[in-house]
This record gives sequence, C-alpha cells and structure tokens, in this order.
Amino acid sequence: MTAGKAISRLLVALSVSGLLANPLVAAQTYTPVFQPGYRPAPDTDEGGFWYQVDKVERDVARSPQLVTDPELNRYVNDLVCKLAGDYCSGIRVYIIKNPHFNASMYPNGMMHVWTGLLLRAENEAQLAAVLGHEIGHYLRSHQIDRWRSLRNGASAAIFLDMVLTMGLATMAVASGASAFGRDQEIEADQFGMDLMTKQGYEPNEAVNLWRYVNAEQAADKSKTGHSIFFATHPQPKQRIEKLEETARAVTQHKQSEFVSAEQNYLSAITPHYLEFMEDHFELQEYEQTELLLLKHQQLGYPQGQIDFFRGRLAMLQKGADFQARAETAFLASIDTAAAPAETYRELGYLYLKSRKNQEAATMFHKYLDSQPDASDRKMIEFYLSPIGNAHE
Amino acid sequence: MNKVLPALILTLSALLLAACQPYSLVRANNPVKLNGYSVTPGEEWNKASYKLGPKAVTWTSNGEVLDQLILIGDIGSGEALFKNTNKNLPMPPFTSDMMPFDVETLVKTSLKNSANGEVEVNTENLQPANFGGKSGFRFNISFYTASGLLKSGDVLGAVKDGKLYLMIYSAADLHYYKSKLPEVEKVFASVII
Amino acid sequence: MRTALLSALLAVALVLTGCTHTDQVKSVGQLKQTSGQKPAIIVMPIDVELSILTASGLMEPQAEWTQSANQFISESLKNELSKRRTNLVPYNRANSNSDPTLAQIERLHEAVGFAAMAHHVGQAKLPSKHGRFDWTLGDDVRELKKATGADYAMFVFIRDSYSSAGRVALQVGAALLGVGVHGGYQVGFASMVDLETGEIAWFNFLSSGAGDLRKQEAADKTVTALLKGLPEA
Repeated sequence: MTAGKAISRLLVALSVSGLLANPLVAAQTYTPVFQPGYRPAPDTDEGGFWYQVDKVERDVARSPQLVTDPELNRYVNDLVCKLAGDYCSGIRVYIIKNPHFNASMYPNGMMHVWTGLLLRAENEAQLAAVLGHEIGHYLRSHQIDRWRSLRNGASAAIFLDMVLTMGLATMAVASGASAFGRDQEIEADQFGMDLMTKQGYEPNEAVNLWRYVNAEQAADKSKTGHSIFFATHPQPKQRIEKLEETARAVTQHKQSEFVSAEQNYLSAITPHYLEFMEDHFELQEYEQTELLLLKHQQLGYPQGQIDFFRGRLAMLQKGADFQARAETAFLASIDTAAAPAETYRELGYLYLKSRKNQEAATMFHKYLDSQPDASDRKMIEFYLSPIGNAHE
Repeated sequence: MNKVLPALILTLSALLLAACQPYSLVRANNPVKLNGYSVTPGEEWNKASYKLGPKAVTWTSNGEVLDQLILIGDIGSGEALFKNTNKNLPMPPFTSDMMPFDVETLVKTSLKNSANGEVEVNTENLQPANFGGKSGFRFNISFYTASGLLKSGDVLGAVKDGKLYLMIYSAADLHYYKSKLPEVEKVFASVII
Repeated sequence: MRTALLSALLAVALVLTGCTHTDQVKSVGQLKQTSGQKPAIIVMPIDVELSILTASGLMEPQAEWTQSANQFISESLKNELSKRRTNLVPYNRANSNSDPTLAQIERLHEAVGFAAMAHHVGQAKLPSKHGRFDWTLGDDVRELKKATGADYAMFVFIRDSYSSAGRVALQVGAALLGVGVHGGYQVGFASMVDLETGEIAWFNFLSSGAGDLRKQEAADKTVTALLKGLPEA
C-alpha cells in the first residue's frame, strides 16, 4: 500500500468514526423548551397540572419521610445545580426515605430522590446520570406533553395517579402505564448524558448505571414487578445501545479526563448507610438485599454494618445452618469498629435460643454497655436475671 | 383529606352503602370473650363488624381514624395476625419459637403490610409485662399515617402453650392517645387467660 | 388517589343523607368571649377544591376555579362572620410548617371531621356515642390560641365538582330517559373549634346537588347555607 493510500484510508476511517466532525459536538445537544422562571397561567391545562403538583409539594415539604440532613441535602443540591446550570434556582430537591430505586422531576421544578437510588448508585457520575436524565425530562417538558396526549383517555387518571403518588407511597404498585413515551426516554437519556459530560463526569458510568437498572428490573419482573421506577421507565435494549454509542463518541472527543468521583460519593452516603439499608431490609426483598450487600462490600461501605445485615439476613431467610451463618457474620461485625450496638443483642438472642446462656449473658451485657440508653433495657435485664435465665 | 388505611376506607364505604349497622356496642364492666382469653372494659366501646383477620377483633371509641384497639388471640404456629390485603406484601406468620423481640418485628411488619406498606412503624420500650397473670411483654409503637397524622400506641402480648395473644392499641398522638390510655390499661389489666 | 377516594366516600355519605339540604349537626348556644370583647375567630386555610367531572368520569381539579373559589369563600366567610359580631384574625400557614404541633392540629382536625362525617352524619354510627357529638381536638389547641390570640378556629372543607360539556349532554339524554346522572355535587363541612378546650363548638355538614363556587354570588349562597345556625356572639 502506498503512503498516500494509507493516509486516505486513515482519513476515511477517521471521518467515519466522527473524529473529524466538530469536536465540540459529542452527542446531539438539546435545549430547554422554556426560560428559567417560567410559570403557566392558572386557567391553562398546564396551570391545572402545576396546581396538583404544587399540592403534592406542600405535603412532601411536611412529610415525615423527608430526609432533612443538611450535609446530604447540600451534596445532592450542589450536584443538581451543577447539572442544571441556569435552571438551578427553579429546582427544589427533596430526598425521600424510600428504599426503592427512584428519582423524578415534576413540571414545577420539584425533584424527588429516593434513598433507594442513593443505595444503588456506585459513584457521583452514576448519580449525575440519573439526575441528568430527570432534568432532561424537565427541561423538555415531557410530563405535560405526555399528560396532554393521554388526557382524553382513561390512562390520564392512571398517569396522574402515578405522577402524584409516586413521591409518597412506599410500596405503590405501578399500573403498567408508562410515564413517558420511548422517544421521550431516549431524549432524556441523551440530554442527561450531555449535561453530565459537560461537567466532566464519565459517560460510561451512565451506561453502567442503566445496565444495572436493566438487570434489577429483569429480576424484579420475574417476581411480581412492583417497582414504580422500573414499570414507568422501560429499558429496552435500544436505549442502552444508544447510550453506549454516545459514550463512545464522547470519550473519543474527550478534552480532559472524565471522573467517576467514587470517594466523594461514598463519603456523602456512608453516614446514612445504616439507616437507609435498614429501610431496605424492611422490604423483605431478601435476594435483592444479598446482591446489594455484595455490591456495597465491593464499594467499601463500613464492613461492620454489612456483616450485621448479613447476619440478620441469615436469620430471616433461614435455610441450611442459618444460625451458624448468622453467628459468623455477627461475630465478624463486632470485630470491626463499625459494628452497630444491636449486633451484640442479635448474638444475645441467638445464643439464648440455642441455650448458650453464658454466651448470651456476655453479649447482652456488651449490648447494654455500648447502648446505655437502649429502650429495651428492661427486656434485656429480664434475660440477665435469674428468672429470665430460667424462662424459656 | 385524611388518607386513612385504604382497606379501611373501602370497607367503611361498603358498609355505608349496605346501610347496615357496622358497629355494635361493647358494654362497660361486662366480660367479653375473645379468642382464648377474656377482657372486661371499664367504659363502652364500639366493636367493628369487619375483621382484620380471622382471630382479630377491632374496637374503637371515637372512630378508627382517631383510636383503635385490636384484640387477637389463639394464633398458632404458621398463622398470621391479619389476612393478606396486598399480594406483594404477604403477612408474616407467627412461629411458636418466637421471643418477644421477634413478636415486635411481627407486629411491625403486619401493621405496615396492612397499610399497603405505606406506613413505617417504629417500636420501642420492649419490656416484660403481665398478661392475665402470665409472663408476657409489652412495647410502644408509633407511626405517621399516609396523610401525616402521628399515631402512638401500646402492644401487650404473651406466648402461652405455643400460641400468641396480643392487644394492639393505637390512637392519634395529639390528645386521643393519652385520653384513652387509662381505659386501655384497664382492659390490659383485666385479662383472664 | 386522594381525590378519588375522598370523593367516593363523600358520595357515599351523600347518598344516605339526601340531596340539596344542609344538615346542622351541633351548635352551642353562644360563642364565648374573652374580656368583654368580640370573640376572635381565626379562619384556618380553607380546604376547597373544585374539579371538573370529565366525560370519562374522572375528577380533574381546576386550578383557576379553585383559586377563585378560595377567594370568594374567604370573602364570604369574612362578611358572614363580621355580621355575627366576631373579630377575624389572620392565620399564617407558614407557622405550621415550622411548628409540628400546629401541623398536627390541622391534620387532627381533618381526621376528626372525617370521623364526625362517617360516624355521626353517615350511617356508620358509633353506639357508644348515644347520639352525642362530643368530638374534640383536645386542649393542645391552646397552642393555636397562644399563637394567634383567637378564641375559636373555623375550618372549612368543601369538595365541588362540575360537569364538562360532555357530561351535561349525557345528563340531558339521561333525564329524558328518567335516569339520574350526577351533574356535579358539593360536599363539605364547616367546624368551629373552641381554642380553650379543643371541643368542636359547632359543626355543619353540607351536601348539595346545586350550587356553584365559581362566582361570588353563588359562593355567598353556599357559605350562607354552610354557616346556617352558626350562633351569634
């Protein structure tokens, strides 16, 4: 091959791969369809929709399920603001104690982030991917469009119900009606990708996150499919493929290193890990819990807390040698600095049930020592007393 | 408007439509036979005609949205406290090896599932207690209803001969909980098992 | 679906109490006054919502109507209450956002109103009441008294629906056939809580197949009906 031919071949190859295209346009860019500060007139249909959403917001603002921790709120708000730019001041973020994976934005600028999402994202880039996706829906007014198109049919009620109750219900069963059309989802994907990469986040993390969502959705469907997010955000292969394509194109054009910001993320979530994971536990979704604990161990959440939950999982799932497995997990937990005080109590009860009264007593004493204000002190002291010891 | 337990609203609506008498009077100072034990209230109560479970009786003084006493008994191994209302949230069964600590979780999950998973029930102050002279236990519960009304309550129970007996009291934390508590304690203390 | 559940329940209550009349349930002889002055009444944020009953039977809340209705009813209430020689005290909703007890008072009132409607007005009577209307919010309401200086708090709750054009057509057709179709209905209650004791000093239940809260004059009529029997100071 002559040098000239080789060069032309290279040029052809390069133009095909897009490297010779405008280096600043990585993905198809979208623009918001309204100006910052927009508010519809009350006598319009959009006004009516906002009215209902405003009502939901009044309730959410006073909800006992609202996570008010200032640090965590600041962390998520800063990320949202980074992504939304000029539209930041019109967005209000509410972190809601709900162990399911979900995030949603409403046309009036209210954003819900469920703690279940925080438990599943592996780093800041993945969180940015989901938040960017939701901001994409918002900036392109997808909700009002969707509502208008559904309005004349019965699906409007279902859609509204879904939209308006999504924020508060812990376990609402999704009706099966999609929140958005397929094109809207793709648009939100791309817009979200655009927003996150502009801030330097690794676009492949979006692919990772949505792949994970896909996998959990498939597992979820195989049971009874009761996740709102999965039911309302269908994940056909096409979306993942498009995201992969965009990520490839973007990374080929990269001006600087993209980041995942894993440490940042873990630092923000770790103080709340025990509480959020406890909520997940109450879902009785044992297989899912097992998978999550594995993921969390790999990410580096406090080992003592992970072992504590492992032990409790064994006690709940039962199965072969469950007491021995639980005991091993609990003992591993108390070997670390992060063991919750309840671990001692779990061991105490475990030993009591297998009639190892001495060991039980030791553990109960340790429990009371590490949690002097334990509300069940009287019950524990009962088991430590001679009557309690004889009691079966 | 108060978004009460959906099952309760629908039941109530159905009862209203049927125009029957959904509540019957529970007389004061008259022993009442329940499942495997009896109690004697000091005041009048109203017994609901619906049942949350085959072995669960519900009393109220001012209406269930304000105060409620659920009286359960003779629950054997493998039986749940309430009947399933949501196929995704099956009621957990009692097992006779359960200790008070485990019953606490059983009650928590059962109450939560009866409200479609929409309420988080907190429990605390687990302690030994007298159940009709037998060794039992009690603890406090608290939760916000779906519309944000705070409720507080007390649970008294015992496991006797492998069977579970429970009385679950809950009421609006503002005024109603304290107001009815003395009478509830009377009912608790009147158990004959 | 709060709106739908509520409407269903209220519709059921409606069925059993008939249409187009006001049921006065309880009232006291006189409103108390403190230190010889006119009783001060605080009107809690009015809970009024106007919906449209669409052709497919859905209740769709209407923002503009609701905003207007809120204004008309507030105006109306102010006029009616001043006629009765009382002092109106403004209430700031923002207070209850930061004060949990005030927020609980609002929610408890919702629950008490629901209980009164279901168990006193409706057919699910509680035999132990023996016909008494003794629901109370308890004396924690004194906190509201302290915060506002008011003697009574008035709560108004109204749900109202109107027909869309499609539904009206249905109505006409059905009327020809002698079948009743709901054009729309109003259900609501007003209660006056004694802020010293927490007792409901006065409670009125409204159910009507007519009425229109989208205009001031009609709103006045509804408020007059709702406040029928409200004692003077």
